[in-house]
Amino acid sequence: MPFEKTKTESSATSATSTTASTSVQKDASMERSNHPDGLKIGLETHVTLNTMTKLFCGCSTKPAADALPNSQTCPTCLGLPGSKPRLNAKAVELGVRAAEALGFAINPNSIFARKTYYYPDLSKNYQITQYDQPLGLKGCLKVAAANAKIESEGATVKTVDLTRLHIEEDPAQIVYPHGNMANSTYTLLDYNRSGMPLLEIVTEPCLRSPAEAKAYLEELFRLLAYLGVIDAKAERVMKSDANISIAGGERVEIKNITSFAAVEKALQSEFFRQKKMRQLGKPIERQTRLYSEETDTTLLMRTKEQEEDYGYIVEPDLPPLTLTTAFIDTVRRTTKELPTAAIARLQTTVPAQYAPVLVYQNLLPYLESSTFADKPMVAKWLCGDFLKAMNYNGIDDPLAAMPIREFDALLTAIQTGKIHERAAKEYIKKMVAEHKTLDAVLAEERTGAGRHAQDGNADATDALITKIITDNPKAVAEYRAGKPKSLEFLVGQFLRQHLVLHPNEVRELFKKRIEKQ
Amino acid sequence: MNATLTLSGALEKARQAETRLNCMAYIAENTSATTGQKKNNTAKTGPLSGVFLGVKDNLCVAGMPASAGSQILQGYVPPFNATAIERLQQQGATIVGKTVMDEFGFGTFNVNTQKIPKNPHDPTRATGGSSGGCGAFTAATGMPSIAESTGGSISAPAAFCGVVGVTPTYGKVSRYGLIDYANSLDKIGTVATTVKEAFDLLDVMAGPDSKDSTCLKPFPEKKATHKAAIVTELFEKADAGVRQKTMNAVDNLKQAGVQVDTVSFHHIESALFAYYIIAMAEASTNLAKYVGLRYGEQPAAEENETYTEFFTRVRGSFGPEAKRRILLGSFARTAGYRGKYYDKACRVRTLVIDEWKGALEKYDVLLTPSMPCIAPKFSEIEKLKPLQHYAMDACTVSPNLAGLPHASIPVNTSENMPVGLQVIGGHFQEKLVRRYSEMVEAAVSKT
Repeated sequence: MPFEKTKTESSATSATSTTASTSVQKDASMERSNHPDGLKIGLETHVTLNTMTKLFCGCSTKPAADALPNSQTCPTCLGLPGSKPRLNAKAVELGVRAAEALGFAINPNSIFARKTYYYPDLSKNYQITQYDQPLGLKGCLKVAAANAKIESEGATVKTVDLTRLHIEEDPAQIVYPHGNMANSTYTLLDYNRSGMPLLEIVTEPCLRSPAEAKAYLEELFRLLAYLGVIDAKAERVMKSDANISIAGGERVEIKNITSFAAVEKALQSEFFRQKKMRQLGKPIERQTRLYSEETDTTLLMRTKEQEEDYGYIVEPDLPPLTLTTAFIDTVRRTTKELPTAAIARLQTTVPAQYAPVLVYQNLLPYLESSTFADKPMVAKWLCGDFLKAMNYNGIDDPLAAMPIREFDALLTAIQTGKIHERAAKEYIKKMVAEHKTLDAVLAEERTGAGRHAQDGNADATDALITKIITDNPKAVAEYRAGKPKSLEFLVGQFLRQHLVLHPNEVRELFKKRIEKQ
Repeated sequence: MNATLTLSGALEKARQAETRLNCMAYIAENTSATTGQKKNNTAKTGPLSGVFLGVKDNLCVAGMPASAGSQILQGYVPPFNATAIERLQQQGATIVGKTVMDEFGFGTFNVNTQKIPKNPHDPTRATGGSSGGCGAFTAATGMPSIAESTGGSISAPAAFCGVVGVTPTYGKVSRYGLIDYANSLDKIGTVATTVKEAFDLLDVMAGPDSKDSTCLKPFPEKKATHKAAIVTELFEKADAGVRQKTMNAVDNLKQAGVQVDTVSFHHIESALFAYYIIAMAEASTNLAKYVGLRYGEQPAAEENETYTEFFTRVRGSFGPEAKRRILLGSFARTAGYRGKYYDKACRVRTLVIDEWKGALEKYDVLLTPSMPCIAPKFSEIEKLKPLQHYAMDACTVSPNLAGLPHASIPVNTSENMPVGLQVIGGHFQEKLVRRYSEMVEAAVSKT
């Protein structure tokens, strides 16, 4: 249905990906860059939302690894005549979650639009997107100095201003069976990707270096993965178009860059090209370019004159996306505490280096539920061997890795000296991999070679010490000659095979034996 | 409904209509496609058992070809059913074939296509469009048909062919499976020989459908005011013969005890232009998908032909009116012109809606002629320019633009050709439209 209040059309702005953002960026780009070359970078990033089904139909977004091309399709994502879209509510919820976390003002009546252009990957030859009434306007993301290599002096945090955020559908996947666009003899289309839900986030042209751009993307990715807005493990979850200009030159767009490293390299190579043009006295023209990883250069795709007019109209098959205050509040309430807040809060209880790991690896609730009083110690073990064991065994949820009760028992045993740290590291691995309690693991140890000397079987211990001394005469000789490190070597050899004894005990046993000989 | 009609009888009637009037795009041959039978081969039975239907060729019936009157969709057989069709088949109805139409719905006389149907009352005259095949089929065979209206494409053929045509409120019937002309304007409706049949069939199709986001739950029924009104400007648009016959029908209503006032509207002219701009803009996006890939006409690529060259060549198969509307519609939404045309047309649309809604607070229904003239001869149509074609929609565009339910009821003939009176009601007030339509029908049968 048509809408009464429509904006008066701004005079023909050239139609790159989001014309509305173009007119906003124009204003912001008037703002001086304090970079010596007047360098300005802006990013338009598309992320795939972590839903089970596509944006406008019920096809699966998570096909099996061996799924055939064009097996997750239906009349709607194939654009068959007569098919119609219906909006995925989960995609909206995730979009609102992201908008909230990024500080966007949420439009409670955003509108879908048709962006019409002819390309084989677009099943209807129009994309359903949002144009002049997007879901979110004016957000920001703070990127820490340590990873931003921030150009401005004295700054510890770069605030990246965000222009807009909106929801749109993905086109199909183009596959070049032999090589690439330039040399493949034919092109294949896989509509499994057609209709996947995307979130587009656009920055102001406020980034001042390729490194800053990369750091922004890494932080954005981390935040969206933390919130569950994107599936961090999925392939090709994030792709960006980068816009770059220097003083006196027009803006150049580099399209469809997938990895963070490639974004940095693409921007560096384009920055270099633009400086060269200026040096040669040539004008830097408004263009769309592609980055080639092989040649580490950007290649011309379209000139300004070849830019398409997308002829946006309101999408008449979808009503306005009306969000009630109750809905937005529910999303707010059910969103995890934002990382910056959680990290700040943790600084008072655990050493600083553990806070980001605990937050981003989803270990904070586990830490808070643990009854073990020494929180720094809890943090150290969680962020170290516990996390390693989780990753090694492909476990996402710490509770699935080890019940908190067992974890607390383990830390208590370490603290009281019942087991030493070296052993604990191995026990964690076993408890997680084999889902065993601490008592079960200790019981197993006792029945093996690693019996505690006090339990009665010193024979196995003696035999092992003998073997190691016999196998390593050089180390024994060096120790006798006054090299303490060689003793540690022998102790290490022992502990590799046998853990229950404390290293100090083992050292004493070796000393005694060597002195005896 | 002719309860004694068998499937073979119905198919035979369809074939005869086709021979005489050139109105069928496809006639079913076997039963499984016609009844939507399940794999275990049992036909669905229900209240519509024994009801045989024609279906306009822009509605998807799984297993039957759907070309929407266009060369570019030749050979397309949809793999899914339109919801409206599904519902009819669930109740036991049988589809005997697909009826011809103006290409994608672009037309008022059903001449904008390769297969042009003839008026059953005079084969030298047009049927009206774009549901012209439905008008001819129903008038010739007596079987109802499922039609579609964007700017008047049910009222026009109903009026010209002398049958009842009902266009429901926008959003009452799911558009899932309707090949789009203009998504904010398209409505699936019915053509039948009686008011009862037309509305009964509509009720079967109507109702919310999760597959169509614009398909709504009906609004509550309004309290009747027991008053109707004629729209002055639209009677003035009609030629003398049509005006006389439709005013007679209005008089009959008055004699039957209905109070009929007069209203005057200010946005009649601009409604026509707003309609065409919006319809063409939307149509130009809906038709973008036809590029010779995946369905319909798929010619082999020529040597060294680029993708752009290929689809440009394929799209040459569109008829001249389709090309005209794609060009104008694309223009109206380009940056720099969108504000002047598309955005402005949307604002005018709101003015039209408000004006008609205002009147329909006071009156149960508004009355107009359906068309300003009787069905023209093909030879007369050839002399018309496009804008003159468009001007023929004067009486139908406003209710269509506003999404108001309306019915065209045949009243007495002029120059031996049918004339239709249009009865227009408020949003989701089909009950009132039906009541007044029945009164008009009753009054006509008495004379």
